[in-house]
Amino acid sequence: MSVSVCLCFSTSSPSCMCSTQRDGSESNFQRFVEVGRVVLLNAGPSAGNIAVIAEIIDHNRAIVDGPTTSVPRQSYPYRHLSLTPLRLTKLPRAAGTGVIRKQLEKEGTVARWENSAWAKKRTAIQKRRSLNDFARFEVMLAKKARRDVVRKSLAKSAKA
Amino acid sequence: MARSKQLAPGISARRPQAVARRSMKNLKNSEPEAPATKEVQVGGDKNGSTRLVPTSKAPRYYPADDVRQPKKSRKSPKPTKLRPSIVPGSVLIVLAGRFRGKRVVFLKQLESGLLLVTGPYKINGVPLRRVNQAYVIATSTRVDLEGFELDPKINDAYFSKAVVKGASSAEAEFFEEGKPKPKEPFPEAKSADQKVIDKAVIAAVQKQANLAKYLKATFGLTKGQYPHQLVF
Repeated sequence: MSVSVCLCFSTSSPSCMCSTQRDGSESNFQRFVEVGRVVLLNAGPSAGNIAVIAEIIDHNRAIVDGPTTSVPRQSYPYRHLSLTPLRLTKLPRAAGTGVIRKQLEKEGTVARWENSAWAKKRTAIQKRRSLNDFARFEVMLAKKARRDVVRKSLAKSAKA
Repeated sequence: MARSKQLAPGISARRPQAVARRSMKNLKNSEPEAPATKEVQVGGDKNGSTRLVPTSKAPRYYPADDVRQPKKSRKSPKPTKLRPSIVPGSVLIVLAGRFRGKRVVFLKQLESGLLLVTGPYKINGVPLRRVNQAYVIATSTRVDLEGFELDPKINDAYFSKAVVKGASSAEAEFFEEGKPKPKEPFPEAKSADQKVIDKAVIAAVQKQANLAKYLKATFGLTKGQYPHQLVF
């Protein structure tokens, strides 16, 4: 079995993103479709929720389950989901809903997801799109006020 | 729903019982009116004094061919339905006319179906005015007009234009053209009505932060804003 060497120049480089596979070979990919991978559902009635891959069906679909995020256990095509950097490491293949729920609670995965920049950006975009006309007006006033404070403090520090 | 075919005007290819039922119903209502003949006085000695004459004479002319009559419409005009998003106190965005882009407060729907709105005048210069529902975007922002009673004298007749007396003769009209017509000052009664209504509306507007500024500002779309994607 050939051992491929990671070609990062500095040996102590923390920026080496090559992931080491179970058989020792390295890959540029970080997020894999595997049992325990936390995924974000993009389409269908559960769109916008996260779930965990419980089992892989074939090259197109996986069984996905999100007991704490109200996603029923179901088959889901990869086309309609996005892989996240989070995963449940201790999940056996074909784990039932109860096992998944216990692991999710133990590792606090949903809270880690909500605190991630990705999830925060999603909620911000959602909020922005749902603003009504008056709310958009108030945002404009707030931006103006902030701009004013920044401009004044800049002028003061420029003068000093 | 299958409509029966018309074999000839007045005769339809319907089931005989259905036709009989229909005509029995119609028979009951046909006869309480005028008698067929009336008595008329006739002159001349040996003519007999009266004659029985039919009340309505038969027509003198019949067209050669039977002409097809157009069907009578069963539609009747109904009062304009008010969108459920429009409620007294709603802020509306006027889209056309002199005040396009202005955000105004909705007061009530008049009998003609038009919406009665006010700026208020002190805030954005829009007076008591009628506006068509079709030329308005209803926002979800509301002004709390609880307990606000609109004077019933403000109705469609209140907004009708006063009749302007034109020139009496063609000659006078010819001389009149081109001369600026004297402008009537705005009637005191109307501005008094405006002030009364606006007092209550402005008091309600002041209760919400920034709402007065919002009504003062004009609506516009910027780059990247598409009305079908915006939430109002």
